[in-house]
Parts: sequence; structure tokens; C-alpha cells
Amino acid sequence: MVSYVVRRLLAALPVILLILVVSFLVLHLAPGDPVTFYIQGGTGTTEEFVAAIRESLGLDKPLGVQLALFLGNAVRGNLGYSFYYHDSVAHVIGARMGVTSLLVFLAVVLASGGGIVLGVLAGTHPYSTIDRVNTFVAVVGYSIPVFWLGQLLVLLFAIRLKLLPTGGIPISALGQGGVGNWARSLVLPVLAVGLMQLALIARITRANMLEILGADYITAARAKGLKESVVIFKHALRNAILPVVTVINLGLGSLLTGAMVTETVFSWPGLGRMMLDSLLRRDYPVLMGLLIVMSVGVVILNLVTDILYVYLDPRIVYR
Amino acid sequence: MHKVRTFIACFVLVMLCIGAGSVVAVSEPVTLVVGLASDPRSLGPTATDNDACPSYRVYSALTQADEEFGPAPDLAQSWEVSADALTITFHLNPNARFQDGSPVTAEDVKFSVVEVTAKLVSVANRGLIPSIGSVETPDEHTVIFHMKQPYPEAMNPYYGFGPRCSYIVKKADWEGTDYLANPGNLKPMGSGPYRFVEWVKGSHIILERWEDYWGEKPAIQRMVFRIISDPTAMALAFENGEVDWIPYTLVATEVERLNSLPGKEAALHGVPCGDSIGARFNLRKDLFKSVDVRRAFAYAINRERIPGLVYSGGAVAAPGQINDTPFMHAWYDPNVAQVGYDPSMAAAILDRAGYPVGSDGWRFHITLKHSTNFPEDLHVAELVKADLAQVKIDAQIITLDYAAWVDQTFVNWNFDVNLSSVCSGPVPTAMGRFTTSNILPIAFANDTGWSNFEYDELHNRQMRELDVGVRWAYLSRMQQILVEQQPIVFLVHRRAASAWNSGKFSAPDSFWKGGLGYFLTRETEVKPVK
Repeated sequence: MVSYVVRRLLAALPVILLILVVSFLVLHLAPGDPVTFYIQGGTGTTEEFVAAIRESLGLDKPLGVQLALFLGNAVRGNLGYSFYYHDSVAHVIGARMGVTSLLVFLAVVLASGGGIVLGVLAGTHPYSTIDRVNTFVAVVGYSIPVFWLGQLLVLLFAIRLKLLPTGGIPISALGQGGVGNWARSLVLPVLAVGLMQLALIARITRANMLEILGADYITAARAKGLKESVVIFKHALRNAILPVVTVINLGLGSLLTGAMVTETVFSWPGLGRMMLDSLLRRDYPVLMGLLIVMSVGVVILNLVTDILYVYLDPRIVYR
Repeated sequence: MHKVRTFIACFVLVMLCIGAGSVVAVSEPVTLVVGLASDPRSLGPTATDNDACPSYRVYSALTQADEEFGPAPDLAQSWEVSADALTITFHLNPNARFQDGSPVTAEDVKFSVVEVTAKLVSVANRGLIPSIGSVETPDEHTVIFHMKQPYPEAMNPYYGFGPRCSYIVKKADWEGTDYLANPGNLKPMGSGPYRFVEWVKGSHIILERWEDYWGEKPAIQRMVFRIISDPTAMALAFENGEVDWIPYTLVATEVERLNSLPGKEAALHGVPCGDSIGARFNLRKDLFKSVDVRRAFAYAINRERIPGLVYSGGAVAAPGQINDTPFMHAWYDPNVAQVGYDPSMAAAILDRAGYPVGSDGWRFHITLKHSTNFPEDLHVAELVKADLAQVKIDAQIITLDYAAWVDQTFVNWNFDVNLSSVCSGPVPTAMGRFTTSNILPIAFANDTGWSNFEYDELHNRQMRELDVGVRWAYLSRMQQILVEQQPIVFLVHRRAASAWNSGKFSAPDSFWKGGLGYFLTRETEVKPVK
């Protein structure tokens, strides 16, 4: 297993490198200049000032030199400085990684936990009321755009019912810290970003459960006199869960994308919004830093998923 | 069933804990929460106009604005302007201190203006800095500016020795440093009434009242700037009481609704720069070298219908470069007006100019580029396209994000017609946008490439003219030239919208929506409602 993991990680390196090189070139060749956001423009700004800024940002160097400098620094762990924030990219990303990770983690927990529970209930009680509820949640959850759902949730729970805030993170300096306030701030964005994944997981779990519950070994297990809960959770779900794990892993990508929209609607200062802002501002160092983080993250998640398969299904062996 | 009941009980218990455990900060300190649409790029002198709201509270300036938009004392407790306006003497408040306790001296002022501001603040370079000849500091509390030429806006809070053009920094902290990378841009330390506390990017900025402030302390003890990029989320946060003041970035369609809420007020109002939107022609293209063709565009576009269809009352049709706004009212010439909507005249002019309708049904094809920076610009472009189609001009709308749009239109001059903002205030210095010397590959410079000797000359004269009557005559003629030559069809004059929590705070209207609170004036005028 260790050699398998090492081989996978080594194989991922050229992929990550290719992603970075292509992204670097595309970003730099696209129209738009980061210097635009340094200057107020209009009369009073001189070409000399603009040239001085370009030089200070390293943008006056040939593109190949810039790329080589970036890769060389990245290998040494130096992701550079944000053009917009005048702060190290590592610090800028690190400051926001926590809030996005919290949002995505809780959304995964909601989507996985809620989706599996709903799917199991629907799969074990086909064509019942719970099954219809599952179908309704799946259709609605998958159809509603995240930004619209987010605004509906705000209108209902924040404006009408005054139960939750409209957005933003609690501000510790104002005494708003604490688990309770964080929980209140997270409820709506987690719901908004997790509902679509929950819908998908619920449907897939249901389908798999229906298929597996019709298998001979399930009939045999029941014939042996095993409790129904043991039949469902130890025998049926254990076999039905593998494709669901794959969907959860794939869904993490869409959760991050959904997080970009959700973070905008809920004013959540996370990586998703920073990606969008940095793209609009042509903050190349931050964008490249985010790409590194995300591509490494995807590699690790895929690897973790593959390892998880081994524990879920002992028949799987990696050599 | 037992498990279901247990689950429900646990769920209810968790929700109760969440509700009970939430500690909503009781605002013991009087706190004003301001909604900002984006992170500032900087909290120092490098801040642009739109993100300088927090930094204006931390730094002092030589003067600040009074309610009439005239100069009021700040660091300078008094000043004298010589009769010829060539010598301006400021007497600094001897009690003025930086927030680290060190005194504010004349050397700090001199350094801040002729070094930091001159290098970083383009607004200052439009008139003030080029007019300064030398600076004398005869003692620690006296600064004398010897001007090369009179500059009529020298005491204007926005374009003169006010907050915008005289951010006073501590010389010892800035001299010899890279000004763009100075830590003061991220953690400012000035001599203003508020101290910087923290800046969590994407979330908030906190300033606290400096209890040892040497001047009149504001009643607001704490200012929190919340970063809310989505306009709808901003309006909802205001409605829910999480934001007390939305300066300038409220969407116009929310004004009526928010104004109807108890304890809340919202209004449409002008902006200091007199923001207009216009269709700017690229005179480098042969098609637009002809005044007749440009005039035909002016006849073809129905400007009057744009405010109602696009801005829900948040704009008026623009008569020309200068609009009748509170800031520019004194310079507005009501006799200057662009031609009215007359598509038949437009068609006739184009026929005479040698652009008849071709076999494809069009006279010619152009591109109309605009930015996504203002969402309404697309709708304006669509109306302009429809109007041009009536006279058989095919306009292809090209929508670009802000950076790409600046790159293509202002830097590389790769456009036919550029739908863009045009600043015409708050002082006539802004008329320099269309001078020949401003034809530069820089954002919001003279992208049209239009050059007119008479206009240039008049601008140079009005920038030095102290006699209001003579200056008005120059500016009137400049407005007339723009309308005659039409390098740009002025479409609408935009208004901004602001909202404030009048149930919690009281302040003059000029503070909330007059540009004074956002850009210039301190919070001494804002008081909590008892």
C-alpha cells in the first residue's frame, strides 16, 4: 500500500506541473493588466508611474522568465506576494482557508450524512411517503440554483423570522466569537451549498440500496434470522456505499464551485470568493497559489478515496 | 419509533443550544457599521477614491470639508492665502499628534504632500502638485507653499489641501521606503480620530476611537466596515440591522423599499465626481474623424428614455460634460446642450457624409464595448444599439470584465465606441480629461484621441484663473466645444444611492449622502439617537 501511495503521488507531480504552466500562460496572455488596480487613472497618472509599478511587480520581465521564477519559488514553498493585498500569498490564502474548509466540511457532513440516511430510508421503503419525500428533495435540491436558494434562505430565516444573520462571519473583536455565533452564521451557507450534493447522494444511495436489497445474500441474511438493522447497515449499505464515496469525492469539486457563489451571497470571506475577486483583479500570484492548493487538494482527495475503497471492500487490493 | 423520538429530541436540544449559546455583542461602545462593496486595496495614501473611506478616519489632512464643501480646520488650525494665490501659509495645531504620541510637524506635512502624495495620488497631480513650486517650513508648526501659478482649487477639500491630496503620514515611517509596499498601507498609523484595530480581508475592518485624539472626538466610538460584495446581500444586511450605513453602493431599485422601513432612510443623490456615462468615439478610426458622423450618433441616440428604462430614476439625461449637480452647479451652463433625438436628421447627415445604406442593409458596422463594472451599462448598450439600428448602424455589443475592458479601450485603443464613465467634477479640474496631454495609454485618460487646441488653451487658463466670472466663461466655452465637436455623446448623469439607519444615528443629510461623510468629513457630526 505504501509503495502504491508513493507511486500515485509521484505520478501526480507532472499533472500538477502541467496545470500550473498552462494556467500561468492562460492568465498572463488573457487581456487585462494587474496594474489597472494600482492606479486611479484619469489625468495625473503618468506612463512613468505605470512603468514603475510594472517593474516593481516583476511584470516587465519576459513571460518565460516570469514563469521560471514562479516555478522556482513555488518549489521552495514561496508562492509570492499578492499584487492587490501586498501580503504573502501563503498568508492571504491561509487566512481564508479555514473558513472555506469549515464551510465545505460541514456541507460534506450534511450532504453525506443526510443523503445517506435519506437514501437508505427511501431504498428500504420504496414507493412509500419517505421515498416520495426523497424524490422531492432530490428534484428540488438539484434544480434550485445555489445563489437563489441562498437568498431565499436569507429572506426566510434572517429577514422574516429574525433567527439567523444574513451573512458574514462573527467578528471576535466585537465579542461575537464563540461556537454559538459561528453555528448561527454557518447554518444557511452550509444548507445552501450542501443541498445539491445531498440530493444527488440521496438518489444514488437509494438506487444502490434497491439493487443490493434484492441480492441473494441479503435474502440469505434475513433467512438466517439476522436483525433487519444488521442486514441493512452491515450487509446492504456496506456494499452500496462504494459508488456513493466516489460521488462524494467528485462532489467536493462542485462544493468548492458552489462555495464561490455561496460565499458571495453570504459575504463569507473564503477561498471561493477570493478566487473570483483575484480573477477580476488579475492578481496572478494569488490565483496561481489557489491553483496549487486546489490541484494538490484534488490529488490527495482522490488518493484518500482510493485508500478508503480498500477498507470498505476487502476484495480491492493495490499493488 | 423510540429512535426517531430520541433523534428529534437531540435535534431540538442542539437548536436550543445554538440559540442560547449565541452571544450577540451588545454594542457597549457606540458602533457605526458601514457596508463596503469590496476590500480596499490599501488603507494608506495609495487608496483609490472608492476605497479610502476607512483610511480617511485614520489619517488627518491639512483641512477637511465643511458642510458647504469649503475648507474647515483639521491639522491646520488656520491659514492665509495671498491675494495673488501664490503663497499659502498653514499654521498647524501645536497639539496635533500621531497615534504613537509623536508630534505632527511641518516636515511631516511637507514630506507627505511633495513626496508621498505627489508620487501616489493622481488626483493631486491633476492640479495641486504641478502648481507647487517650493515648500518652506520656517518652524515646526508652519508650512508655506510657494505656488508656481495660482491654483483656484487649492483650498478645495477634494482637489486641494484636503483629505484627498494631503494624507499626512509620519515622515520617519515612510521616508526611504517603497511607498507601495510600506506597512502603513495595511496597518495605518495616522493622526486622525480613529485608530486601526484589524483588517480581516473579505470580512471587515475595525477602527476604534483614539481616546487621546488632540481634536474634537467623535461620538462614534467604533467603526466597523463590513465587506459585502453582493448588492442584494448588502441591502438585506441593512434591512436586518447588521449594517447602519451603505454609502454610494446601494442599488437604486432598493431605495423606495428601504425608505419605507421604520427607522431607515435611503435616497438617490449626486456623486462628487458628477459621474456620467457616455459613448466615446475612437477618433483614430477614419469613420469617427468626421464631426458629422459623431453628430449623427448624437441625433440617433434617444438619451431621454435611458434613465427611466435602465436606472429606475437613478439618473437623468446628460446635457453635456458638466451637469447641474450640487458640486458643479456653479459651473454648469444651461445654454450648453447636445442636439436632441432626431433619427431622421441622423440618417440625413450620414447620407451626406457618404455613408448610405449598403446592400446588406447597414451603413457600417461598429463595436460597442463596455465593462461589467456597472451592471446597468449592458442595458444602456442595448438601448444605444437599438437606436443606432433605427438609422441602419449595426453595433455589436462586446461585454468585458473591468480589467480586459481597460486594457482594450484605454490602453490599447482597440475599440470603435467605448461606453464609459465620464467624471466631470467635483471641480473643473476634471475637465482636463479631454486635453491633448491626457492622450495616454492609461485607464480613464483621453481614450478618444481627440485633440483641440482651443480646448487645451482654455483648460490651461481656467486652471490658473482666480476670477470666478472669467473662469466661468472659459468653462462655458469648453463645454460648448465638447458639444460642437462631440468626441463623446454624453448619455446620462448617474446618481448614487445610499441608506442609513436614522433610528440609531443622526447626522446632517450632507454627511450621509453628500459625499462629505464618505470622502471627507469626520464623524463628529454623527451622534447616536438617544
